[in-house]
Amino acid sequence: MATPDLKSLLEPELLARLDQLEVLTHKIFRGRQKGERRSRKKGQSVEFADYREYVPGDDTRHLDWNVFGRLERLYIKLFLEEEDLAFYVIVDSSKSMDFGTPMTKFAYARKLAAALAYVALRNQDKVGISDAKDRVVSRFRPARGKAQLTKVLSYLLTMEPSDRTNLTQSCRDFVLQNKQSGIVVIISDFLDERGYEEALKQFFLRSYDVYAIQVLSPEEKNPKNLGHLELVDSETGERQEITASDMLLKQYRQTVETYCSGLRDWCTSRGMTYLATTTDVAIDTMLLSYLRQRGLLR
Amino acid sequence: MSSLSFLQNPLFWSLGALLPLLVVFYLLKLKRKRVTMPSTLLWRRSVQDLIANAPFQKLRNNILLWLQLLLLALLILAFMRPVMKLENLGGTTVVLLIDNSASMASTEANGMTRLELAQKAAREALDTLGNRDEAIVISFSDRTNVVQTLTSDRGALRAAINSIQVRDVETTLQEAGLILQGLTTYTNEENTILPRENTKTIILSDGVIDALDSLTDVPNVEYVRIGESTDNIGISGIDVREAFTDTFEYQIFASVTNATDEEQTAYVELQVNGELLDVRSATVAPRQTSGVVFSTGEVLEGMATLTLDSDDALKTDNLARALIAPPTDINVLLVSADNYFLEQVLQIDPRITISKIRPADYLPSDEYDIVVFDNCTTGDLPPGNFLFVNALPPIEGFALNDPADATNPQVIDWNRVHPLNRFCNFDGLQIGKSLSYTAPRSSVSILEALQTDLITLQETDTQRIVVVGFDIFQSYWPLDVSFPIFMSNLVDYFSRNRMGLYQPSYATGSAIAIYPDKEAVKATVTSPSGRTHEFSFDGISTAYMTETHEAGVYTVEFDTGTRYLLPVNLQSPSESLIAPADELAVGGREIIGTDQVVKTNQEIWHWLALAALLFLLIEWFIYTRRTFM
Repeated sequence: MATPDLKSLLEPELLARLDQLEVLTHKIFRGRQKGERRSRKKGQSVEFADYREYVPGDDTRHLDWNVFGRLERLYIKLFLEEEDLAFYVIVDSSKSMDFGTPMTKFAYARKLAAALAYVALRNQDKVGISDAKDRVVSRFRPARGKAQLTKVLSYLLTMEPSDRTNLTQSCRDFVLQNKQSGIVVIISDFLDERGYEEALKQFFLRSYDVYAIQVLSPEEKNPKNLGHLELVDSETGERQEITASDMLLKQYRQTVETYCSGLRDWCTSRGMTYLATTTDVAIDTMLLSYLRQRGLLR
Repeated sequence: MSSLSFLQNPLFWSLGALLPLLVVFYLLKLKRKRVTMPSTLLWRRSVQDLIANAPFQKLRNNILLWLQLLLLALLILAFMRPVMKLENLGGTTVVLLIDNSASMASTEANGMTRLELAQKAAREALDTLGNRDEAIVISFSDRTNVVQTLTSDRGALRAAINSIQVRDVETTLQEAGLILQGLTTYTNEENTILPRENTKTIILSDGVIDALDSLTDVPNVEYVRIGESTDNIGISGIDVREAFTDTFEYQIFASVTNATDEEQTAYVELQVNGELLDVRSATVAPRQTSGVVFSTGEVLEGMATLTLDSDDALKTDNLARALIAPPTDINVLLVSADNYFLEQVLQIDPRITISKIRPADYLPSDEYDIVVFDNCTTGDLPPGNFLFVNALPPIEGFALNDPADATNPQVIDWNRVHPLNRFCNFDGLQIGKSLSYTAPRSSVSILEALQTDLITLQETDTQRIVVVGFDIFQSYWPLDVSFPIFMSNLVDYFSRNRMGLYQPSYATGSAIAIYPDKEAVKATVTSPSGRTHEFSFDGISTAYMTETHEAGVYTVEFDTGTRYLLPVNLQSPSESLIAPADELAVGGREIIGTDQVVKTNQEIWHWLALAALLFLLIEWFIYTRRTFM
């Protein structure tokens, strides 16, 4: 069970609902250890997956004689192999994540990471967490089993938003640190001066199943007319004078929309899954509805 | 100081006020609220996109763009140095002659005085000058004053124009004409006076003015006629005389001038020492002068004030004051074989007691106020007042010429401002024979003939001597009206002591002689407006008060404590006739008056630059407010 601190990350009501879920991947990964979940890799299990033609050297025990009887050709029966899955969560903990209502973007990302980790651990998947700022400043090494839950949650609680964002460097660090392919969920606002393209390209090195979850605050997505302002960038300290007129607000909303759709299109075209959310969307709605629809959870 | 004269320019201060305005705008800019945002990445992109996309889509709504376009257009226009194409007067040196005589105090229908209208017209004339043009400001009345020397500094010129004030005096352009001639003409190597090029003279006046016939070569003269009103009736003269009767009584003579085009009847009040004594009506024909005579009755001393009851354009001439001096007994010794005319004319004056002796019986004495030597002289002359008729006094400097006689001397001039000649006109006086003599250099010529002086005044600290250089029996003088008047003036002049020293009234602008009282060494004269003038009698017998351009009562106070009053009045029929002249004679030409200064080419770039500055401020203000993004 979670400690009082840990409860702030995972409420008991949410836990009960998460128990129904498991992490799903669209790719076939080579597990190092038999797991409790089915992978798309065909192997030795009781669940039939497909046929293929017999080639010399195949185990003759798997020949399907019924098919041979009908077609007079040798086919091997393939079965789904059950194996363990590496499930990584990269949490952006830069200074820009420390904003938003009703909770900060960082708090939201941390809760989401905790819930996903819970689902994965419960299904005997290996869970690794990376703390990304201008690089990966620390990580929770991939570990399996429900017993790791407390450690994972404790690790998440040690994270604090600070410093500048460098998604490219963080993703490069992540890839170097985690050799085993698997599912990577990157939770960030993706507001990086250098862009997100170079960062996400890092995952091509290994065949990761990437989920990009963009978390913005409602104020960022739909700001109100606040008058004459001097905006100060929380990370760079850069200043921008604006008068939040209707015209400018309209332009800003359009810019946000363009930026988010750009990210979405970029991910989709490269086989990655993109999901946008705001901090006013409830975590359980996010998990039980949005992530299910995107196929990360089942 | 002239280098800082722009400080007097109101435009300098108006534009200077923009500086604190800029600071205010700067403070306004500082009021922008500072907010920390997760990232300004998207905001920056939005602003850039907005700017990049704005020009063609939002052109109509972007006030900043319009303001900037306007600003740029104004600056371009200013750089082109455009000129308002008005009638060209071609002047680079402009002489502004502003009349500040008494008639310029007349109030016009719009409530402004003529001087104010003239000042306004002069300021407008300044506005028409080009940047390199220069101007000089001269005011003229009885005197000419160069208020501002030649300069192109508009601030100094403007301040000079504004500083001109009305003087309650008559007008003359003679002195101004000399300055004008120096400015607008030059003499070439052949001693020919030629007009200077690029000069312009603007006379701003109501035309109540002498003609300037001598200025034949002054080029390019413009006469701006100031004022229209003819609504004035005023007291143009005042005098006090003892009544020529046996009784002690004074008569006050007043001249009333009507400037309007209709016959006017006005009421004139006489007050003496603040008490109303008499009211008389005066009916005066259009543009004429009539007389009114008051009797003072039993009142024999004090300040008489005549008030004309009229709410007209010129107030200065609605009031006149005169001093009624107390009568004094005058003892006159007539040293003569026999002179009927002299005896009779002296007996007219009730103050005079005459004693007669033959020349051989004369002994110097200080019993008499005046001693008259008729056709005789004496060897020794004590202190006192003396009249020598057809004889010369035993004073160094008086000597007969060779020949000693002048036959039929023709009168050519007389000293018109001297008290001895007050109200005298010697035109047509015929004299059969006169002494031909030389007078001391310190003497004053009272009446001049071609060959010799006919009447001379010699004054020293102890003596006053008048010489009439001809035998009155060999002239028509006793039959001329000037004879009794002159003799009356002579008795007045010689009998000056204490209060009797001064005339009943003086005209504004005249020089008033101040005689020391007993042991007095200092006198202070205070003008009606309170200005004081100090005089010292150390080494001189008479001081002259020349600053008499204000109408009213002047006070003379000696250090001995003696104090008396000097009434000064406008007393000018020509100034009371305020109808502005349509034409002005200058150099034999009649210059038609215009209602306003003819304008010249006017550069307007500075106005455009000013407008550009204004739009820049507005644009900046809007930009900092970002009301429209």
